Amino acid sequence: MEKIKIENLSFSYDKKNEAIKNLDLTIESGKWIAVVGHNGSGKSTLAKLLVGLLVPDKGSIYIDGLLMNEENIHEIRKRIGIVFQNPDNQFVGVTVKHDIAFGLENQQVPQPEMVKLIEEYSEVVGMSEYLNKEPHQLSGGQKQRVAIAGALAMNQDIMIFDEATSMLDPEGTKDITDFIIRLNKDFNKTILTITHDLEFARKADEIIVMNEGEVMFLGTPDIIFENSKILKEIDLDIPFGLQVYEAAKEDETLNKQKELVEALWEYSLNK
Amino acid sequence: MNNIVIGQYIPGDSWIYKIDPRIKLSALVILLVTTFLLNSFLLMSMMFVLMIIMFLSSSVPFMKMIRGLKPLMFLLTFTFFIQIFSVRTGKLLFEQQMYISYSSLGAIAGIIVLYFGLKRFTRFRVTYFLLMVLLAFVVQALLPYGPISEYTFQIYEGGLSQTGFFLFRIIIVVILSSLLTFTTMPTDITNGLESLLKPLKVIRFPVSELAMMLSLTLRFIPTLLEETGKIMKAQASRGVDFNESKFKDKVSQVISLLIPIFVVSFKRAEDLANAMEARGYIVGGKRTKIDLMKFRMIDLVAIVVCFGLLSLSILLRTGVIAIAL
Amino acid sequence: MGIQFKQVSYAYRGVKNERYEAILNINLEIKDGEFVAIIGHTGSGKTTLVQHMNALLEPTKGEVQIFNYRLPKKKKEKVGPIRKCVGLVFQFPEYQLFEETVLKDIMFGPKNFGLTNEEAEVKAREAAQLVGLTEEILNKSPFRISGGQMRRVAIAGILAMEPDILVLDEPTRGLDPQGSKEIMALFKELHVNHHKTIVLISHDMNIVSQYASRILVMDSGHVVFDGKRDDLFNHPQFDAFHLARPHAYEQMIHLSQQLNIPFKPVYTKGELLEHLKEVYHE
Repeated sequence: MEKIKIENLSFSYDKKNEAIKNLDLTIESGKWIAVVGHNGSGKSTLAKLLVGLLVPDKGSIYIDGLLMNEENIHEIRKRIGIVFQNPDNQFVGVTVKHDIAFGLENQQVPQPEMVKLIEEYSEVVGMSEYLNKEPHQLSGGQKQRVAIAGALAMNQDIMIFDEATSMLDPEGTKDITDFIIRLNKDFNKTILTITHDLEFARKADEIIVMNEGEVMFLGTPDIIFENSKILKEIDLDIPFGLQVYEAAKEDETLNKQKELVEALWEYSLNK
Repeated sequence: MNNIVIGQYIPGDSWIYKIDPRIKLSALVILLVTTFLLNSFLLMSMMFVLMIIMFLSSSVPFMKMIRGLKPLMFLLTFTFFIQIFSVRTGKLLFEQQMYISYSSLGAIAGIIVLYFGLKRFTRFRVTYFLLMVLLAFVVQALLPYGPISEYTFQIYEGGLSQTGFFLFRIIIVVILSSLLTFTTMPTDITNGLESLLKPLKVIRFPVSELAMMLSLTLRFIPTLLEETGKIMKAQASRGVDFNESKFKDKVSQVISLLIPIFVVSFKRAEDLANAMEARGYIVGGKRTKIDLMKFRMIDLVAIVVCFGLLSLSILLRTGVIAIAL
Repeated sequence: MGIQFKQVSYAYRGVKNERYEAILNINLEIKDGEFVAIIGHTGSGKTTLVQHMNALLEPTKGEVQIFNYRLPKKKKEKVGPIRKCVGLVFQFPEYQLFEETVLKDIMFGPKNFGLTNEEAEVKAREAAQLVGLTEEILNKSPFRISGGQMRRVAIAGILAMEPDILVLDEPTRGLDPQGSKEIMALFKELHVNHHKTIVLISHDMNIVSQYASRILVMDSGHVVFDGKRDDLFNHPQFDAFHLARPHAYEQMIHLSQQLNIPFKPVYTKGELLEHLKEVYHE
């Protein structure tokens, strides 16, 4: 089922330089797509267009078959959620409980139901003991977990993570990346992760490489990394193990050593 | 990082905690009006005693409230003296010749020096301050040597009673508002306010939006404080030190604090607006609330008592009833 | 002269007046010309520790000696001058930019330490060149340049004060791999060519192992390891530190086990490949 369909999308911030150029893209239900590209490639702009925070200059966006427009944007927002990069700047509630409730209050969910949803999903993200804590008492990773709980409580099938771990420390990053994997595998959410981190991106079903507002390459991680030259061209680093493997293949002494090359390839698959 | 708490809420479970915030807010207003209507010492003292009983039964630590009065001490002392000197009605109760002379001025200068010098050695700053003020007046009575001018210090009954009223009223206001803030969570105060102001929606007054703004402000004060602290340290590392710099430098250095805070705040506002919109917030739209406010028996009792006191005070003031003294 | 910590502890009071000890009984010496890395989890006390190095914090117990200054300071003593000799670059230092132009912002630090406008401008231009900022960026507003450029401006602002010791709190946080490489290369140059002492806080084991000769590991306010990097990664209690190993080191362990080849501590892709070439050079 086509969850997200983008047709001929174009957008520019200042009417001069196009941030997104004639983009076509289809994302199937339940898939996890990683969008990579360096700053300015249009990744974040794409995310904002998908949740209707920006209005395209040209083209159409279909979510669950619904063409996004001014009338149905509210209905569409019930189906697609987004977690942003700065944990503080999206934490609205005075306490954890209030923040998870925020989206539900906007949907006019009755109070008793809200209580149940908050209990259930704060438990899922491991923040049920923190319901009365204020955000300045929480770490970045904990705040992002609350954001995830909020989105889960809204029962949105599609979730976008716009560099959601860039501002976190390694513990927080691992925490959130583990959650994202669970959201896809256990909760069957359609996930779009926008990231610099190719080690994380390779765990996704497909990778979209964006450059200057266009989709430069789209494919499974294996295919993408086979064409690692493309990534290097646009200044993206491939995972370490893969770098070693590629370098060994180019080296005359080493590329003759079958056992070594095999071992390096195998290692690169996991690292 | 964890040192800041929003508001002054102290958790507890006495009867005051159980009252609906709307009732607490209304009660505050009603009781304040009641207090200001009272015009005899007897009634004022009765009100005062009532407030003290209310406070003691609320399980809020007494010292916290005393500390709340401290910043007011200077103002209170100042007003006390203004009133005492200026009001000259009623019987003359006390008279004393006071001398402004070289000796008394010298003594006062000495007292001021002593005050600042010994300030750090005492923990009871307020009492110490009052003592010094008293001393300053005593020396004026006792040292006429090297006379410059003199005046008569007179305390009239009218002055004393007006000052008394004033003091009582201030203290009752502080007790009542402290009770509110100590026993009600900031979110409940906001909810209560929003609910009470709902009727204003009829004249298109943006009640819910104001409540949201209030709530967001509460949410971000600790975060902003933390960030201000960090920026102060960052600029201190570049040579800005408010403790050690000259006044004229301080003025230009404040910009190095203000601009980054503004920039951070504007970015924050933009990000927040995006996040709120993406999460389905519509300005002016209908929303449900996670916090419930239930009107219970205790609320009914509380509001009835308040109205009762108010009515009593109106009747006494307008002379419909009189209390035999 | 360096920096010395003698039995230093720092404690503060929380909301309910409870006592938190951020660092405890720290004894260490940073000598001139060293490149030291401090690693440890969030909350281990790293930031508290380094904020003593430029007198932003004073120990609640013990003594810190920075050049000729002693902390805790005596009343009326001014410790501001320490901050000219020990330059501290905060995390996400972009937030401290505020001036009308990049050049003016870089000049801010030197001017606060008494330089005239002309002198400060000279130092600012020198620092700008060091971090790789072009002339045209100097005239721009610091709010109209990219994030990576803003970070360089912030670093230049500290370098312009010409500190002898540079303390860097996670300088690569939030940067992409290319940006990280460039910034670290800059610090290496400052260390080698300009003889600056560098104290680096980082989470990135790859960076730490590639640039630092001495590593301090902090945990719950204590220094649990202080020594050379080789000694850290083959330390018998390494797992108790809950740290990751650098990519190259990790892969080396794996390969030596799987292929039965001799192990050698390596910290970069280059070193790993070099070693493999040696091993397979039959």
